Amino acid sequence: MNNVRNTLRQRAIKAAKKLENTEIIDGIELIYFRIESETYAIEAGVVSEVHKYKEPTPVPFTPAYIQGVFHMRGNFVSLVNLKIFLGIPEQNEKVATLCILFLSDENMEFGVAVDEVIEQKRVSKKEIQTLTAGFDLPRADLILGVMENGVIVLDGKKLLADPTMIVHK
Amino acid sequence: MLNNLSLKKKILAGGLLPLFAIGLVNVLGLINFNGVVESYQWVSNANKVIEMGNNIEKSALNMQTGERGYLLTGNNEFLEPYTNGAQSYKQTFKKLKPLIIIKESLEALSAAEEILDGWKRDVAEPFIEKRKNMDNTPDSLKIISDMVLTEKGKGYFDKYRQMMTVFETSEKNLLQARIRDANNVVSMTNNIIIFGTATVLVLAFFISLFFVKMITNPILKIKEAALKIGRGDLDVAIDIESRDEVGEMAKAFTAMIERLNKMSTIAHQIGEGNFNVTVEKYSDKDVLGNAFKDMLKNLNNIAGVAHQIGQGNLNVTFAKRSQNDLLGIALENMLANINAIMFELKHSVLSLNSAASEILATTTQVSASASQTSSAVAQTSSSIEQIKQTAKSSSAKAVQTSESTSKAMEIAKSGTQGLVENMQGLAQIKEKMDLIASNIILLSQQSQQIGEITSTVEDIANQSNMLAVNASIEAVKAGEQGKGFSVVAIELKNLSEQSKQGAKQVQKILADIQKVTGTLVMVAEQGAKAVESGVKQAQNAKTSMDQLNATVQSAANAGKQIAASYEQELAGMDQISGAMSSVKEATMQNLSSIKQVEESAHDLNALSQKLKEVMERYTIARNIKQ
Repeated sequence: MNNVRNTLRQRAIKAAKKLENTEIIDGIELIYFRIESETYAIEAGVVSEVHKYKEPTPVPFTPAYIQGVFHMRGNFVSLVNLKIFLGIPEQNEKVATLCILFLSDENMEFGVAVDEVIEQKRVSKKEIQTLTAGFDLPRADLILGVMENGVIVLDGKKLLADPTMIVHK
Repeated sequence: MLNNLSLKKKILAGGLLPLFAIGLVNVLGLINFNGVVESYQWVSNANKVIEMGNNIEKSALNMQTGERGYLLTGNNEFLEPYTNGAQSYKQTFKKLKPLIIIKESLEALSAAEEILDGWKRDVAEPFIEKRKNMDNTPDSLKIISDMVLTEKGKGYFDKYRQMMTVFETSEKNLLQARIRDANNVVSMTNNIIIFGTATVLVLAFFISLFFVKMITNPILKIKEAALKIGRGDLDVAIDIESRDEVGEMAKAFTAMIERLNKMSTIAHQIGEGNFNVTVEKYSDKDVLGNAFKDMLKNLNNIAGVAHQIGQGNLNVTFAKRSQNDLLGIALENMLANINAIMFELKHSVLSLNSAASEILATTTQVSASASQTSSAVAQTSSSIEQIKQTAKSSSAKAVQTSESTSKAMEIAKSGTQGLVENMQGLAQIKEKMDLIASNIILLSQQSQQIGEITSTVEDIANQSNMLAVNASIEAVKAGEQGKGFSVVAIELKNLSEQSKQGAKQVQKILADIQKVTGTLVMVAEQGAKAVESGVKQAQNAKTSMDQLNATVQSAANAGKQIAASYEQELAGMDQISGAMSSVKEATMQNLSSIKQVEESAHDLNALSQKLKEVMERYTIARNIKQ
């Protein structure tokens, strides 16, 4: 009981403090998420919302990375398996997929199955280092860069504008 | 330093140094003699100047005479001395002038010349001219005589003579001074020669004496030393520091004395009987060394022979070296005599020895058989005693066994009692174990339920996390107005993270509890099983216990019977033991008397053996035969 009060007090002190100049100029808002053991990030601007995972309805005659569709506030939205789409090699240990990340812009909307959504954070653009040639991902053009802690930052706008996402043609 | 010179150099120094001094005096004399010669030259020079002065005066007089004659006669013949005198005057004057060194006389001479020139100019020449124009008439003669009588010339010549006199006196003074100087130089030379020679002679005498002493002193010392050595006194020290031939001779002498000392020490040691000395040979011609070596060799030889005889080796060859070798002859005789005695002695000892041996062998045999008999009797007696003892201890053990069996019976009874109590306790334990097992199973089920609840909590945490992310996305979309909301979203996220952590911890604790309960269930089951088997074993033990009781009972009865039979056997054994004791006593007496005989035989044998050994130490010469 005492412990809990202590924790609450500390938290209150922390919250009462004036925000220090943590504002990062020339920053970018990123959503961090995890697929298997890898951590990825994507611009928060393209993420419309996060949803709990539910099994989609599989659609026949679609590429392997389209896991299926589901009904979402009156729309049918396709669910993309990012692992297959980006060509990330399969890992032996299976982790429960918990969340769906909805990406959208004015033209396109689809969901991405991820294992966990970690947090939203503002980082400086300088922290994101563009990939050097010779990186062995097949769709390296969809990657904005890599951060020092090993997080891969995906280019959300390019992902949404990617022609292979439009299936009905 | 002088000591380092060789003898030759010393002698040369002794002779040459005085010679050199004499030479020095001679050189000084010679230099002075040259001075004498020079000063006499100066004297003769002064004489010459005076003579020339005289000549000049004479020439002047000739001129005057010639002029007067011409004036009187008018004859030209009379003019000749005048002109000749003037000429010679001029020549002599020229020669004389550079020879004069005194200023006074030079001035006088120059004044004289001027006066003469004045006479010539004022008197002689005008008169001669006047006379040439006249004839020898009485009138003219009268004029001439008047002219002459004017005494004009006389004044000049008086002055002239005065000047010349000044000149001569100054020159004569110079001559006197030079003669004095010359005489001084001569007397100095004389002094140098006389006194220098005397000094040098004295000096030469002392130098020679010094060197002679230097040479003869060490020789005298050596001579003294040699005389002492000749008298046999070797306590001589030659104290000479010089390094010349005499010094070397002294060193040789010292070495010789050392050698003689060493030899005398060795001789002394030999005299004291120590032959273990080494003699150094200084050269092949070292007579003394060789003689000492020979002597030592011979003495050692004799000592060796004596030593061998002492050791008992009489078989040594030894020959006297000459008819005068007294020691050798004595040794030879001694050796021969001892050999003869020893030979006889050895033979007698041998026969004595064999007789003693035979006696000893016989007595030993007798003694051995007697002791065998005795030991057999003793063995029999001790065996009987042993049997008796065994019977006694067996009897005692039988009694003990009987007692033990009755004790065993009591223990068996109490054991049965204990087993029954044990079995009751086990039954109670089994009941309790069953209760524990059922409780544990209940606990396990409850923890399972808690696990389900925590997973629900985790689920909620995940969802709220998602909600937080959505909220923050919305906050970003809202832009500046959404900033506060974004803080709330972060807090919500933290909260969900914490509840997730809490759920995880609960799950971990639950997993631990489940593990423990699992093992507890197993342990409880094992416990129940162990109790069951314990009950079974206790029952088995009880039946065994009953059987043991019966067996112990029958053993107790048998023990009592055995004890009784042993008692009877003991009585019989006592009788046999008494009989054996008397037999043993008799054999003992027999044995002791035989032992005495054997000891005497032993002593005899030992004595003869010792004698033989003593004899064997002597090796008798082979050529001695009886």
